Amino acid sequence: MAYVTMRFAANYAVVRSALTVSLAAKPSREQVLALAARSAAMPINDDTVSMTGPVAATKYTDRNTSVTLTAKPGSGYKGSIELHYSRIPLSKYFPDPRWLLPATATETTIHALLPAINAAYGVNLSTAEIADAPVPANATTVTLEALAGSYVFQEGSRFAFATPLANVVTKRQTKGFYPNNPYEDQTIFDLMFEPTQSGTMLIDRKANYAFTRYTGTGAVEVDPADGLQGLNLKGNGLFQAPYDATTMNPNAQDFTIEARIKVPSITPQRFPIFNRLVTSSTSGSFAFGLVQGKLDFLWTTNGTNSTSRRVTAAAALQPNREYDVSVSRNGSVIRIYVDGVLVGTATSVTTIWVGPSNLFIGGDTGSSGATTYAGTGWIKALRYTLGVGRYPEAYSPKNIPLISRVLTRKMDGFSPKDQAQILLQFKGNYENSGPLPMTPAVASSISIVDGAGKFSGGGLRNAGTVNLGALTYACDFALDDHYTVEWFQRKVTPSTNVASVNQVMWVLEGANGGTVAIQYYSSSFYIYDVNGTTVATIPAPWPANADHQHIALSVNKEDNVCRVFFNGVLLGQFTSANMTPLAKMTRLRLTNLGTVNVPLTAFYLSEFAITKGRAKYTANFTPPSAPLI
Amino acid sequence: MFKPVFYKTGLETTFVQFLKEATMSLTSALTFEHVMKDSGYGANYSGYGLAASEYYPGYYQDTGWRPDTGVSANTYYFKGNTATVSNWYQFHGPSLTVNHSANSDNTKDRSWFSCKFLVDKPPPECSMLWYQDVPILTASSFITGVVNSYAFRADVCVDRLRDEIRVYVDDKLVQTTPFWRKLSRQPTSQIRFGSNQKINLGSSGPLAVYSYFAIWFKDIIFYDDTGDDTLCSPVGDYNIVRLPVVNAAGTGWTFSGTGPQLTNVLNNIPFNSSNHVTPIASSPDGTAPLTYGLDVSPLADDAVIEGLFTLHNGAAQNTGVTTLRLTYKQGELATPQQIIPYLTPRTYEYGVKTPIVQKSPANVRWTKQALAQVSVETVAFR
Repeated sequence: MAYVTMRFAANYAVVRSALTVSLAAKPSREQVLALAARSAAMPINDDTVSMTGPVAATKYTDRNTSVTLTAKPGSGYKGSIELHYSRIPLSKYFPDPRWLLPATATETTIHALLPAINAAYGVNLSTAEIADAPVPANATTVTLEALAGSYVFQEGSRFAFATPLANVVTKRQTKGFYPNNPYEDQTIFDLMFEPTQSGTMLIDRKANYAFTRYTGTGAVEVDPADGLQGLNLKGNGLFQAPYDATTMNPNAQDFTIEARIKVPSITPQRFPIFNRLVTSSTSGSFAFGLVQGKLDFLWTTNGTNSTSRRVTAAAALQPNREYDVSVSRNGSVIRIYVDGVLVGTATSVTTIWVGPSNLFIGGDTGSSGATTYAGTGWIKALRYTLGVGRYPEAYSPKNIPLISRVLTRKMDGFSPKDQAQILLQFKGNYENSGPLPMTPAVASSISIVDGAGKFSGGGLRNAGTVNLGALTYACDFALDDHYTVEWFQRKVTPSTNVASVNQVMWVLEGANGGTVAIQYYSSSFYIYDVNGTTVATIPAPWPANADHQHIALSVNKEDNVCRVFFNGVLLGQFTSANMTPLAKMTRLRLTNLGTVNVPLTAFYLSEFAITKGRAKYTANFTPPSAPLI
Repeated sequence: MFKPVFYKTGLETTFVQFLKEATMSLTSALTFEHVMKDSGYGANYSGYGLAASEYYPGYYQDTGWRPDTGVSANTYYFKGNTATVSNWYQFHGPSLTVNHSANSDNTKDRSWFSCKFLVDKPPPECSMLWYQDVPILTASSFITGVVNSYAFRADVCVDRLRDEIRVYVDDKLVQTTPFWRKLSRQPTSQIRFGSNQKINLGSSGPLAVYSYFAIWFKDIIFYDDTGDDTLCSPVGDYNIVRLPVVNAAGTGWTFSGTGPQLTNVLNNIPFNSSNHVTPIASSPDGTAPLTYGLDVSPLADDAVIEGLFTLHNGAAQNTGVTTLRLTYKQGELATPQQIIPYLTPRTYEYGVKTPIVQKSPANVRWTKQALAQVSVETVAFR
């Protein structure tokens, strides 16, 4: 039998820039010279010709301007030529009409903003060709107007940048709940099930928790029924978040758990939605889910099953239909709702007792850790609010696409405008490709493995043993500012189990002995502040492959919020004033910490950058797909 | 006496680019996005609108000139070895051979090709070589000293009116080479990158600093003069943008395993030999159409689109010659069908191309809006 296989089908469009970046980056006069040189069979520049003009011209109906080039003595040419071309409106000039700059903090002027505009758009406007005008504080656009005498622009033409709604309104093909306001602060987590790289890490919009797959094959996928993302639980496993009693325990507080679910069958005994439950619990629990298709909330009050209580709906749900389900505690009353309709009530509720165990979505585990009651079906949205019972009475579910959530999503990648002060690419040497003078010192255990870098450079590997040295750089760098550290790291081999690896990635050493550092250990990032104190521990299960992973620490000095990203996904954030005290950074150390010498045997590190003055990443972003420079 | 150094008409046409785009006839385009990093010593890159291959003479073969590791969009590929190269022999350098004659219309007054490069510490003698090893773009003509990670675009004009080749680097003319016996008209003309002599860089001494040199290639396009009353000038910057597959459906197409949908499979450009799922059409007889739409979001709303081409990767098996017939449809309108031989005997063949289609089914220039309405239909034949 004959057959045909297909592995992929890739479609490409060949797209041309009306004006090249390199051309637009030149001053207007040089643009004209460059264009003249394009089809001339001689070098045309200030060494070979002089140029007069531009002047208005009418000789050709479609060319409004002329300049005159005259060959200079000694150039090997002689004579003059009049060139006709059209100066263009400003509106035709910018390939990207969006406003790319941040809102202006204070009142300023067009001329004061020109350097930033030039850098952002790769152009080279001068104050001589653009009219000056005041720009009010908080402006997210400006209007440019061309002055007379510009080589490129029509006098009087104007152009106003626009900020597209897409920049400030998320467009996620997922479902979600009505915007949280006024309960944003009380929302513990809000899962949106947006596409992720692996499909096995759940994105908490609040960035408080990273639910990772514990067992099985459940994943964030597109539901063919509606084309929207959701968590597809396949009856063989569950997702888990770390134990966190402080912020998660309901105790005597009001709370709300709400979800959109769809199950293919109501026959299974349970469809667990969200719970802190050990099946044979002796240490307290609560669980929200379906019991043979009926909505159910179970809890214990003193840590034993003997005092567990539950409220269960009388009727089962229908299979293959999506429902809004919720449980809301208001004072001593717990109510459960299906599509906003009250289906069960429990009164005289006291303190809900919860012991130390992990939180699960889509299943629970027995005391041995084995999965029990793994659900089969879809969870399309899931939110937990603590301190507020959102639904004291029947309500109309307001599940709406998250497009309505106004969130600023700044997509930032590596680009020349980032101007990283420290930029290591290990392209055959240890030199800093950034502008900061740094003196590398290399221990004998350090090597660059060609081809192991993310882009053009190699991968840094410390193949020494304990107590062998690091790669260090002596520097003199004031880092008392916002800053972003980002780098790529990959396993040496896909099969390496890095969960147990104790690995220091980098250390910023200050003048007074202070160190800011990141360590990877036991599937978590440990972040150390300048006092050497562990200021945050952020779970980060490493994917089971040897792909390059992009990791970033983005530190905002103003509000002291520090965020850690893994492949562009916000893993966690914390607030610390001790992450930006390095008035003088004297040394950068890679692959070990002074007192914890553990070599970088399991990883390659590459494309390492420190950008000063910017907390580049504030929300999920697309990891850089181009080299650092 | 005034030396006639300007083509007045050409100049004026160039300047009109501010208002009106220069016309060109795009013939070929190549991108390296699909080069698998574990492809070993695969040396042929085909299916991108033109064919290119590594060139080496079989001796003095250095080991490092291989596709760059990692595959991601918008990346330069095919790099040199950054390890020490003490003795750099002819063709030891990154020698990507592109058959120019197969990709240009030799009957036109001018043909062009443009290529994007990234170079790192190139030796001054490193050159783009024309047929019979004539250097047409030598590093020393536009690079001074040692440069790290220097990116540029080279526009090469094969000017048959003047019997010369001119090379512009980032829009600046840097090198002119007269033809020797009009070689541009020879059907075997090629483009290579390397050196035309043996160069001892050494491990010490003044040239040792170049011993870590490397070159990356990115997108390459070929285009010709359209033959109208003006001469085609460099078109400026360009990009080759991948448009992912959406809403794939395949009557008669099946694939093993669970989880991935047909759309996912078709978008899953394999990084290596094991991370893909293969949909299969049994007994192809023209009744198993595979259709999908294009995700045009990577394009700017006002993108100037010169053409569209598609790459299929897979294999016809247990049969003699199988063909694919591809059609771009826009509602009731369809482009002329492209009949493509589809015989990729090796398991990880790189792909089968369709020619570049320069206009939409409505016979007007492609726009983002037009591409958003296009469905691609592919039928397998035996």
